[in-house]
Amino acid sequence: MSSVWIIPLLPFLGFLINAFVGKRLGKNGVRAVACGVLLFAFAASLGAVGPVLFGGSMPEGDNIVVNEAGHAYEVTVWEWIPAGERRGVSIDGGGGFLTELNIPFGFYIDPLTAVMLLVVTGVGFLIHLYASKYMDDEDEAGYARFFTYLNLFVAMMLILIMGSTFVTMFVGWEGVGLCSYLLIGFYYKKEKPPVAGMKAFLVNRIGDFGFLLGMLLLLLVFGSLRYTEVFERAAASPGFAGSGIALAIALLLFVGATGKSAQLPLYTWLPDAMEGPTPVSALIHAATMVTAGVFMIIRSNVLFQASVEASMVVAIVGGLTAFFAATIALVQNDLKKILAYSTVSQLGYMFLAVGCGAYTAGLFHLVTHAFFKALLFLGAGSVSHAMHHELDIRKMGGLKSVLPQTRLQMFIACLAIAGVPILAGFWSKDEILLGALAQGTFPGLAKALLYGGGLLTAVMTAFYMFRLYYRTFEGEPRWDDHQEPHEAPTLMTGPLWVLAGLSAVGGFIGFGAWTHLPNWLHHALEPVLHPGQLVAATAHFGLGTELVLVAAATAAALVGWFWARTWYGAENEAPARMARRFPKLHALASAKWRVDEIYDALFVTPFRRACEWAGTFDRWVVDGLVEGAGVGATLTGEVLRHVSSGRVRTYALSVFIGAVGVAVWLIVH
Amino acid sequence: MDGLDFLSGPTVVPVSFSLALALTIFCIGAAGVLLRRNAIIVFACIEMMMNAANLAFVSLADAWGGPEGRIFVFFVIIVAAAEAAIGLGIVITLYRLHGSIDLDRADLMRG
Repeated sequence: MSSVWIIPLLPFLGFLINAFVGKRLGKNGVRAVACGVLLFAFAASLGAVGPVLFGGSMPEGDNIVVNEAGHAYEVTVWEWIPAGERRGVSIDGGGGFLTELNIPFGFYIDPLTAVMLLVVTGVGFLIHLYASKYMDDEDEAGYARFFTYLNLFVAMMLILIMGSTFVTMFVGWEGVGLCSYLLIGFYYKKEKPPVAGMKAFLVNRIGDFGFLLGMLLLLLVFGSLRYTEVFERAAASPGFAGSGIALAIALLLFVGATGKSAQLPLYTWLPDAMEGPTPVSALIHAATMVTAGVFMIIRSNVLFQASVEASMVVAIVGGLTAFFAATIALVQNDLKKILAYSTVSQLGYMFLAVGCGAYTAGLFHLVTHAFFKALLFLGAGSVSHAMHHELDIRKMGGLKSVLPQTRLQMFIACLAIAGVPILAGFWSKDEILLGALAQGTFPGLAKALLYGGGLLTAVMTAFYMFRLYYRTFEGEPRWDDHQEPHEAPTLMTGPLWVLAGLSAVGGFIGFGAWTHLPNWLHHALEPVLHPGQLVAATAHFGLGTELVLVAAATAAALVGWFWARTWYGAENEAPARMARRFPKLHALASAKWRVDEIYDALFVTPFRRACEWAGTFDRWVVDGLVEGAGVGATLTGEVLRHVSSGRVRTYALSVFIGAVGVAVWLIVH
Repeated sequence: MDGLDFLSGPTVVPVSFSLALALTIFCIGAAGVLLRRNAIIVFACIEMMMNAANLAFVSLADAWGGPEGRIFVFFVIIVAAAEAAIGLGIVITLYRLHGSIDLDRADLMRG
């Protein structure tokens, strides 16, 4: 009997307790429940992943299936949707798969899930701990409400990553979307947050619709939505790889991923989502939920490897997003907005990696990004906490003397995300760029563009991160003395130190091949990856080539860093001069390339128009018909009532005339 | 002996005669219903119209030779009896309401 089901159940219990008795528990009670369930969930996760990551003995039981290679086990909790027999559509001339469509509610634990579990519960716990102090300004009801949502989010995220079928994943997928909506709009009395929440929800619906269609297509073709069955059948069907249906399935699933993971063209909700409390931005909109799309693609790597074209689309969209979002981040002045666009850009890197078949690199960057981006967001939270909710970096500067700990933490995070050697981001970004060049099925030009774009984005990443760092912590103070910034309390700095440590050494789970050190993550993830056409076509470079590539990536990071240091380390006219030289470009980038305005003009405004037109039609034509019928009847009655005189003799006369009329008619005919 | 022909067997009244008589009675009844204001007279006129119909029934049944017409007459008589009971009830109620049986004064159903 395995007890993995307790992992999502714990935060769900926390959610129930905080929702129903949270107000009576008081802040300390809520804090203990919310953080406690996460800590226990983390401990339970450690127990659950042991067998698949560290070679412990597999759990045994009637409801547990351990796969043949012994790297994964599936726990069925109950029969969820038993719908009987059906036959899948034939894809290779055969009869299609005949199967019992039987969707169980269960959990599938393999190395991929295991890594995600540790990240979600581990980083989630640290962020909960931080938030329990950060949200102290709220009243007791608000405090309980916040942790109700946050616990529910973690429960849903765990269902998303642990589910054993696409349907279970979809339940979690929608659940985290709901929590994201609730938490973005947490400050519902203000004007912007509820609107931002609604935008996130609506934009995500477009992606979710694609995901749903992809799932239905999978069901049609393979007659099942269980991971084990779908992937086994997809791998065993010779006609599937390269077919149009494989392309359609992969692209539809990818549409879902672009929504949840904020990729072009559906990324616009993520920067707006920064209206939520900062721990929410760290947990949901940086470390966990937005990486669900990457997770889903790695999970269905069998399906994506069946279509090189779809994977290329994934890689190109990822590369474009990475580049595009980085250009916006260069000129933003809001601390959290910079981090938001940076998140979009880093997610683009992950999609670039998984599109190129470098699934390990994608997951690697997902993990390291969870560490340093959570750290960056929480650090930004500490800054805004110190500056009384000021987020404009133009009004900061020189904060290193008053926020020494936060400053050091942010510095480590910036080094990590920029890809400065031996910190976490260095290893993962390096592996992504390597993966872009190594994909043998892509044409040379595509590889060169993906690699070049990635390298250029790396320069920009280092530049905007260190611009943020220098504008905030170095130089002359640009804030008023009466703001009296102060360092965050220990409960907030503590989790940050853990994250800072992870950002520094987290990359050691995936040493590059050139170091000749063991690459733990690569080894762990190997059984998850189907040896399909993308993985098979991954080239292995010699030591010399690898060293050149590593040097190029390092150079990119250092160029960005020193460029930012020259421009922003001390007062410098250069940025202003640059802005004056290219005023239109600067204005356009500052206005986020006007994408929101374009979407407004293309979709929102026409839709509103159509709604107004439909409203007018309803009011005048539909209502007109209905009310016209009523008014017409009333008027007719008004006229006809005079016919009814009440006199019997008049009635008798009309009967007589009628009878005579009938008689005449009968005679004539 | 021509003048005593009626003794030699039944003399048949032509159908047209009796139909003309029925039509006359019917028209008198209809005129009474339409023109008179006294409820009892109107009521009697209705009876007259029915009996005109009865006369038409029997005379046509005679000419036709079948029993249906005669059977119908019985139906009409039964309906007329029922109608008489209800009609007289209405007249009494009318009198109680208005203190008269002038039909033109009864206009409760005016729209």
